[in-house]
Amino acid sequence: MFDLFKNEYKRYQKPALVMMIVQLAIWGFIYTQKPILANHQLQSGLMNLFMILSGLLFGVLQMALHRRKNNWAYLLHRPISPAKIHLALISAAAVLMLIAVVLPFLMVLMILDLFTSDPVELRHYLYLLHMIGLTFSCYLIGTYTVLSPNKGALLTFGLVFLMVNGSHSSALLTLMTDLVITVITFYLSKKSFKINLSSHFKQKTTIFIAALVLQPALAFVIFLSQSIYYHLPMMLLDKHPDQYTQQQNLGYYSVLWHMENHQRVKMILEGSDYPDVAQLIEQVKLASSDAINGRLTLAAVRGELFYKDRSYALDDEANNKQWIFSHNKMLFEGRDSNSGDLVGFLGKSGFFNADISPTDEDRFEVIPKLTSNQYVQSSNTLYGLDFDQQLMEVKHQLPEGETYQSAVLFNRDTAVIILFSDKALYFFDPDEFSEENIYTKATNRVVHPITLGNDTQIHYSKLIDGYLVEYRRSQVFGYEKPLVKLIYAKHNGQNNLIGEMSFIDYRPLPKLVTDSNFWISPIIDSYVFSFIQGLYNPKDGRYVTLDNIGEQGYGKETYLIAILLAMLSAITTFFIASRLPMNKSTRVFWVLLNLIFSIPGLLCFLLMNPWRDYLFYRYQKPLPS
Amino acid sequence: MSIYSAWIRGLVLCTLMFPLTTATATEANTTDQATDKALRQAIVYSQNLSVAPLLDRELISRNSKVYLVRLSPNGKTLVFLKKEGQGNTKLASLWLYKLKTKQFKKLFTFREISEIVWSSSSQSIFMAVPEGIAVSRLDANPSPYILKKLDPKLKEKWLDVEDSFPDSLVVQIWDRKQQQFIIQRVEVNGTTKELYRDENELRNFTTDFAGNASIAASRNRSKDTRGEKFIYDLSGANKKHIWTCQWDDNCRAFYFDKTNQRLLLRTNQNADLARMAWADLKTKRLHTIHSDPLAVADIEAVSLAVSPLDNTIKPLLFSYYGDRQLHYGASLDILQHIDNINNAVASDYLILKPPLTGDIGNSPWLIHDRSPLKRRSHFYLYHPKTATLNRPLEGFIAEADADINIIRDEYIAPSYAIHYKSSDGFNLQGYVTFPSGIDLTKAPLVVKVHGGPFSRVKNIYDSVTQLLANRGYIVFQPNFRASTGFGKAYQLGVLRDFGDGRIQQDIIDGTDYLLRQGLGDRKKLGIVGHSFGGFSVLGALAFTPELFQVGFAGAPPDDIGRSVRFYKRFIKKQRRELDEYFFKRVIVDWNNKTALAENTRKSPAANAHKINKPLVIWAGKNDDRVFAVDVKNYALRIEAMEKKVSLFVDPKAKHSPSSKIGFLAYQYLMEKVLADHLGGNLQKLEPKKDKQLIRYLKKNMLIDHNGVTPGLK
Repeated sequence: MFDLFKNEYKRYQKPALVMMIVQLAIWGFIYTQKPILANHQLQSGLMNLFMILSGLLFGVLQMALHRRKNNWAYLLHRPISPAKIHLALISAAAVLMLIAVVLPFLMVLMILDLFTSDPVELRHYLYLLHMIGLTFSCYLIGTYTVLSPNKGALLTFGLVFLMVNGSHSSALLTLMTDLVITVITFYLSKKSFKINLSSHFKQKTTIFIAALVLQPALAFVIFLSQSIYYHLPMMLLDKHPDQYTQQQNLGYYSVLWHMENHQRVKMILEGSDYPDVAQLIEQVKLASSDAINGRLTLAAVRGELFYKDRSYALDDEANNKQWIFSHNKMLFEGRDSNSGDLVGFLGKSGFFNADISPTDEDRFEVIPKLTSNQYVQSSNTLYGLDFDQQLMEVKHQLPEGETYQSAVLFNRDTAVIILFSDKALYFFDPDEFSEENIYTKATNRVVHPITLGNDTQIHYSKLIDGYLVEYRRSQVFGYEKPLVKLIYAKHNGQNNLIGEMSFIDYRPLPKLVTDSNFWISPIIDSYVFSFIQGLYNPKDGRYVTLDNIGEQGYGKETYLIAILLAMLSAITTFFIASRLPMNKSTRVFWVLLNLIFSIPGLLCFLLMNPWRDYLFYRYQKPLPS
Repeated sequence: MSIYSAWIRGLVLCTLMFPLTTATATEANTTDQATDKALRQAIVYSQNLSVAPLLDRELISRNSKVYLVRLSPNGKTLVFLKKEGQGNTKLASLWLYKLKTKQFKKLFTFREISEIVWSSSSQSIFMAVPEGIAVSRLDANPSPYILKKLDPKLKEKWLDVEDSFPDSLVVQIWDRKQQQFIIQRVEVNGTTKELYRDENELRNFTTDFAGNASIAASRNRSKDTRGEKFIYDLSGANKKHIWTCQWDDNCRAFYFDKTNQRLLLRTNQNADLARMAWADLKTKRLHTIHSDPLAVADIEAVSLAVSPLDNTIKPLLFSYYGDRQLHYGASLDILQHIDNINNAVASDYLILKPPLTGDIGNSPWLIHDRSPLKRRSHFYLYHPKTATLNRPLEGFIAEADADINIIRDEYIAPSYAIHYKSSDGFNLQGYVTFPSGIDLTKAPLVVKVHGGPFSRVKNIYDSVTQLLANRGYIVFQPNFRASTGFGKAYQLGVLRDFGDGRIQQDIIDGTDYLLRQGLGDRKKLGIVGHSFGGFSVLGALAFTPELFQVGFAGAPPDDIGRSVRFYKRFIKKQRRELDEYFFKRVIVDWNNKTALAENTRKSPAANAHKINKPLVIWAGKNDDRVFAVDVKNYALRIEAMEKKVSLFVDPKAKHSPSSKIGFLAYQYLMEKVLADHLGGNLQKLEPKKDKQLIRYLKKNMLIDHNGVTPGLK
């Protein structure tokens, strides 16, 4: 086994070393352009792409070469079990990927840590584990794809999206996710490594796992097929709802897209008891307006892997310093931009010298956000920075129990500055806000009339005597109806909910189309995987959580379709399985599985069994004797 | 101080000032004698007053919360604005006061309204907002809405309220497609009607009684222009040139009587002073309606009303500002009303607003008392039938201002008009403000030079002047030649003699005059000024280095010829037209290299090496008239010459401080440098209370060799 490992290693050693050197060169170049530890969407995106492609392609290449006609027989015809051969091969691959992909970055980190003043922390080193997990998982998916007779094996790649999710989450959650996916893909790769490559999985555990990991991707593919059976044909016939007029969209959330501000106000207030609708319409007609995304944001987690960082440092050009946040210390460390020497700290209480030991009172409780190089934002306090005079003061503070959900937003057209928390929307006057060294009170505070979610849009019009704020939720996943609420926030402090309206649905699409993501996979995708996604993004109300699990409001027909399709999947499975050479318990297992997995399960069954041979065979004429 | 004692104080001061005003009508020597006598009386009076305590500089600047009071054309309703909240907030509310029921009503709260005007029907209120024009309709829901969006970058603007059409106004907008200006009537229901269009911007556009385009003016744009202003009749298919004003006549046409072919004009043609006149288009002659009886001042304002009998416009009231505001009626009954008002209100500065309907005998007049001896404005209603006045808003204003401190009337230093002869024999005017209760022969004296230079000083409450007086300085504000309001010879008598020239000498002559009167300590003279005033400060320190001990210059150009050329750019940016002929005639012909060189030779820029006294310079970072980079350049040059200079650059400001903190910084720097070198009082900065100001000063002080930055020296 060790010889096999050695030979496999030697086979790809040179390319791995070349990749290592090239990567080091690239990192060297990047170092001249920007701090390496300053995460950038492009940097982390390219790194992810590199890890995914290198792993996937290597796995495909390695196994495809071994799978050639005589090579496979030669490979497996050894006095060791296929499992050990598999282990030897993937161990060699693992070492090679470590060299080509992970080792260069480890060297970079060590150099930065030992020879520069860049703040290298444990979370940077932990990123290496993530790199290993991602690259190795993609490699194993590659091997599984080549080795498995399942033509849909590549769709296991859908699991990788959980690994590259950029939402804030703890290092533990990120690495546990990597570990679990690596284990699953290792298992599948190992199970597919067998003498007869054309034979499908027989063990129920393996079948279950192989089918389960395909569910999200298959559900997505089936969902996309809407384009073929609905969207494209309707577009060609000019009957697609996106081509509807405003009148045709009435009653649906999508009508809002076709309307001017004053038209929306008129529609929302129709039938309401607001006394002066006509007057309000006049007020809105020429008023400047803007829209902001009301999505709830997750706060950065202490110790999270560095590729999730949204900002790196504060640039103190006036004093030639940089202030980088340390997760270890929960403070900003000030470094001289030229020498890299530690020059001081910036904590909750302000700037202080390097020779003063920070206390707990100085440390931030949460990872702060940086805005415009001027503001530091914790969960409920916005601090204004004055680098010239090395001062930091409270610019704005939320009442207890509220947390900021947005950075400082400034719109030139409306000349308004906005911040919003999970409870309220705050408007500021830009002139007052820009006054330095002074606390700024919001000119208007509007308590949210709805719970914010990732589908929330806040639209406001700047009137002479206040703001007209429109809260919209599209709520597309069957929980509640889309709605809009209108609040008139006057400068005299009065905030009144003057109108609201709920809609039949998001767009005037047939139920079959709008609820397709449910009836395609009502249990696995709509519940189980949605629940898993909710663990990573708990603020997104679209995902199923334990709190909202009972609130789903799909129509009876949707549930009926889901049940019928599940039953149809089960029946079809039974029909085909009964013609396949499989034992009874496996047959029953597939039927029960597809009663739960529904259409994607049926597709799995078709991908994971040689049904064509047996069905065609059944109906072919017997061979001439 | 009670109302009565304040009234008495005002009466005494007016009495003291009266000889000064009558004196101006006499010959030169007699002028000086009368002025000298009145001045001595004023000196005695001021020295006998109690010393004013050292007042907070914010207090001196602070004003009443109630402002922009307007009486409806039908005389039944007052509308006004009231600031809300504390501190720097822009929050304010719009209020109505019904004269009949004496009821106050708050209509709405807003953040940004800069002007309010009644519609001619009294049913709507038009408001200037950042987006354009808004309206509040009193005959319906008064919640305001934007009526017309205007883009100032395209020279779109609100011209006037339309008299012939109730509830409408006239705007100028830009047609991008046709590249033309359109004059448009806009009604409250949003309906618009085009009244006129032209490739060039027209000024002073007016309509006739039918609401059609009547007259407008524009500069002579031809190559051989001599700076004329042409007035056009717009009633025909093409505009027809009907009258010409010369380059030195800032004329304005108010009304075109087409039937009789005459134009109602404000003009100084064939005279030194501007007056109201009928221009007969047939005979091309001017018939004076009214000019200053004292022969001192240009006509400043005229109230016009529509005569209901014959549908013509007639003047009601003529206003002049020589040493103080004076009003004259167009008829005996109006004169009587003015007398009634003057007898009832002892004030040097009353703004009279007779009813525009012309029903002066029945409808109330709004009187705005802007006496320089009162910080808080007082608003009166004059009831012509009973010849009585009342102050309907007094209680409301008192209540509104209850939670803020405004400078008390007894602490306001009085100002006096003075008259002196320049060294070349010209009669000049200015104002001097005395600190109360101080020996004026030993007090330091600060010359405060106005900007422009085509502007003037009036006797109104000025917070910088009051600040200086409170700190113990005599403040002299000269109306040197180039100042406006005193006639052609005064404004344009000296041409192209800026810098080390006649105009600077006028300022020095005035200073000498006061010193000869025994006012001020010759060894404690300072000079301050903004814009052109700042230029004069640089000039004073350079050309009369032994006279002044210290200077404070705000946004100062160091070479006026160069500044004027760059002013072109500023004007163009504002999409206005620069009167090039005028500037070339009066300041410098920048196309003439010799003239330009001579101008530079006489400028502070070329004479900076002569400065040997401390100088503090203020600049606005975003100044688009006097560029901060030029001011910085000057400061750096003289710093390199090892002069004692300090430079503060306000990051929020344009040509003047625009924020409260910016204004406080400006005042503090002036106060500090004068206190350091002239010995006046200084309100020290407190670390906690003035934390924001201290940081603002420290952060934006770029050069400081005078130790004016807090914490230094």
